[in-house]
Amino acid sequence: MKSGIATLIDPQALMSALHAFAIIMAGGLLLLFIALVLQKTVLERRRRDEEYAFERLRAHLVSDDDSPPELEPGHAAHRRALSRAMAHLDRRGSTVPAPAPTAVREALVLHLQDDARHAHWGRRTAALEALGRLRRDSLWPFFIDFADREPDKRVFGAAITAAAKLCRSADHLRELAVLLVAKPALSRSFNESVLHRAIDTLLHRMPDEAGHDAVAGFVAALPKGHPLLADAISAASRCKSRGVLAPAQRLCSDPRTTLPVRLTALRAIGRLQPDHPLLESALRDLAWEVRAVAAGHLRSPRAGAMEGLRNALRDRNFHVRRNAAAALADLGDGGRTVLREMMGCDDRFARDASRAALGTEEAVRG
Amino acid sequence: MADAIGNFIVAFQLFVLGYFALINLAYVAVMLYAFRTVNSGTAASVDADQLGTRLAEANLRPVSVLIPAYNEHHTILHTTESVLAAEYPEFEVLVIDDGSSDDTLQRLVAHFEAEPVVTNVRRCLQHEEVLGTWRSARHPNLLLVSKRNGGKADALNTGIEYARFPLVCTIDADSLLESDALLRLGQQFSYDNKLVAVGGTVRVLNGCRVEGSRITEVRAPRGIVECVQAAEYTRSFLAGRVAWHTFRSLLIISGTFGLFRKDMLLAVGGYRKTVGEDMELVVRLHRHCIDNRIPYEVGFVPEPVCWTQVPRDLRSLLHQRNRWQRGLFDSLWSNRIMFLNPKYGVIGMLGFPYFVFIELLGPIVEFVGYAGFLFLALMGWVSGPIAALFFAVAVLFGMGLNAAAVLIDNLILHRYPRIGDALRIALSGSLEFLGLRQLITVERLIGTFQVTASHWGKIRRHAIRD
Repeated sequence: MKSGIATLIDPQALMSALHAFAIIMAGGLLLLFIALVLQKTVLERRRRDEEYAFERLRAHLVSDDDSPPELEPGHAAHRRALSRAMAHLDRRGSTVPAPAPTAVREALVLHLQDDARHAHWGRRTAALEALGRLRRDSLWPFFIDFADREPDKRVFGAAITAAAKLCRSADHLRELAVLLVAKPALSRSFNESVLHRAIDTLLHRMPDEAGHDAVAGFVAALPKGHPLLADAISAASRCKSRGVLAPAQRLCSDPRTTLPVRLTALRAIGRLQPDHPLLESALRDLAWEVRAVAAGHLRSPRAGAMEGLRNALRDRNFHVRRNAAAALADLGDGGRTVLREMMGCDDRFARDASRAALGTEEAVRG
Repeated sequence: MADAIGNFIVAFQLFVLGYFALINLAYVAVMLYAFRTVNSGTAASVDADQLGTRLAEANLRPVSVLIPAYNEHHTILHTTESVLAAEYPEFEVLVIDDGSSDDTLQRLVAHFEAEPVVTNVRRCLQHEEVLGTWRSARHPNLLLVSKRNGGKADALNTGIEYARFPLVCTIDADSLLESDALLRLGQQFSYDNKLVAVGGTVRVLNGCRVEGSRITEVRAPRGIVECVQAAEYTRSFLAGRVAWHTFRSLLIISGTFGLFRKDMLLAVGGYRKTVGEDMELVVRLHRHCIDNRIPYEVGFVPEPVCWTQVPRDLRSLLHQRNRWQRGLFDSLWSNRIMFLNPKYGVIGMLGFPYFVFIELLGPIVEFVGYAGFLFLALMGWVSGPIAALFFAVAVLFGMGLNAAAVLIDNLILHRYPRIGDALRIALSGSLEFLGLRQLITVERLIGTFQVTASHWGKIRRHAIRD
């Protein structure tokens, strides 16, 4: 019974091959189990090392002792302990004044900078975040240069976030914007968060009007179609920077403005001045998105605004109706009276929106 | 005639050996690739301090967490509490009671002091009628939705409609979410503009110490059936998902823990009513984005963990695997246009065929291999020692892959701190290949021929004990 393809398999050879395979597999399996035991033992020792180093470094950093701590720069556990200890120092510093920089701490900053450049990405971001918490202006060029060269977006994110905490001028904002535009893979919400942090820092550090002027100048200098325009407007309005009101108004009134930027500008106006007349007129816009944003932000007891919101309850778009109902519910007795009146109207959708706004309001309050 | 039989027997042996070699080479390749990726990419070193900073600093998009529940009175309170304890700047939790016949809804209403509320949502997906909504007085971000029974997909579609936020996270009602899991998953959307969906790791809750809704100590399960699943989940999530994500061909995000962009869920019409709704949705997301030329990413991150209860008894496990096989078949069949279709790029030419040839047809070939070799050995047409040795090699190979997965998991993520637990999972998990895998293969084979059945399968649930 051995012809055709049957000649392809030699039973003896197959037997030997399978036998060899089985031995290799069994040996491999045994090695894997031994490796598992060794690995757990090593990992446990490393964890204990790190905890010990962390406790020592933490105590050392908050003391006035200027002697060098026992730190082996090449030891991974010590590096991690250092990042954690620096973070701890910063938190302590947020309630109690942090100790003045000493030669030791300067040396530790150098260690962290080295970590940020050469370690595994998790430790690199940890080092950058630890450095960012120190809020040292002298580190600005380091962060900017670092972010400029960094190909890994997670590490880039950590570097630019750390830089944003040191923002002191409109020039700094522009530098950050250039870097953000150069990394299109990062999302808009990330870009907005970086700008938000930078503007917030700038407003805290600059004298009142000068800060708002710097922000306004930065936003106004961004050309139409700039990928960060909407993020900048949104971030500035979140920081309650009044300087952005004028550019936002200009963008809203300009018919050439794209819809996403217009929506952002309208939201910014809503955040800064919820009774702005532009929000009232936006309730009559052709785009439902604009009407929905306007209805969501308008908070004015003026008769015209109330009438606009009442009409918005009959809008053909669900989101406009819902936002208008929520706005009226938020406007106190006057608004709730309008909602109760609308519950008797002939428009089923308006009745639904009014009932939901009143029902939610009453149930949560109850 | 004798020649023909001889040729057939040898051809059969060659086919089985070839398939065995192919499947195991694929597993080894996936494992090695995943090890490389996880080792260089994981942020396990990111500790609580860092996450705290990110929580305070990040401009994370708000998330609506959906928990579909059907007769989950044993676990639903723990699950909901664990989600409510998540560290995330802005989120809401929606528990959708899918017409439970037990007291799931009553327990929720009483425990969270929920009051009936009137809600106004835009009807945009197909689902059964909603009977009422309640909002918790203790947690204003918790909404309970009661609806007529329509299945998990139906409940999730209801949840999507009620979700207010741009990201939607789905969590099973018998799971506990780690407090930083949502944060670790949500921040992926800040890093990547094109991300439409991202999955996290699911691990076995059985055996862990739980206090309130938090896991205080990660321990290995006690039973062999559970340990086998712990090893299997490790292998599947750490190796399979990581590698397929890197190949841009991830076809499944577990329904137990996944985060999606709500606009994309609405664009594809939400979940389809099938027993494998999680995989079907992800395959359809790929298809939709490629058909409409939308730049997109479907991601996987190994660090965020959702701990889930797995079946304790063999019968429940077999029912579950039967359902998974039916779901796999249905997902692949309903999107068969992607199979070996160059239009779908690497998914059509690599990911989809892998799932067809290795995952879907695997049980059939495996069963035919076992049964065929047994039959040939009994008939004396194949040498008994060769058949036994082949079986031994197959079992040892599986054990080796299993142990390697546990080793990699401990090396990089080390979620099981005790050496005894890691060893127990590696050892008990290896026993899978001595009988349990064969049983599961038979059940999956049966499932393949029951594709028209839509029943969920009976799985015994247990309370999560403190």
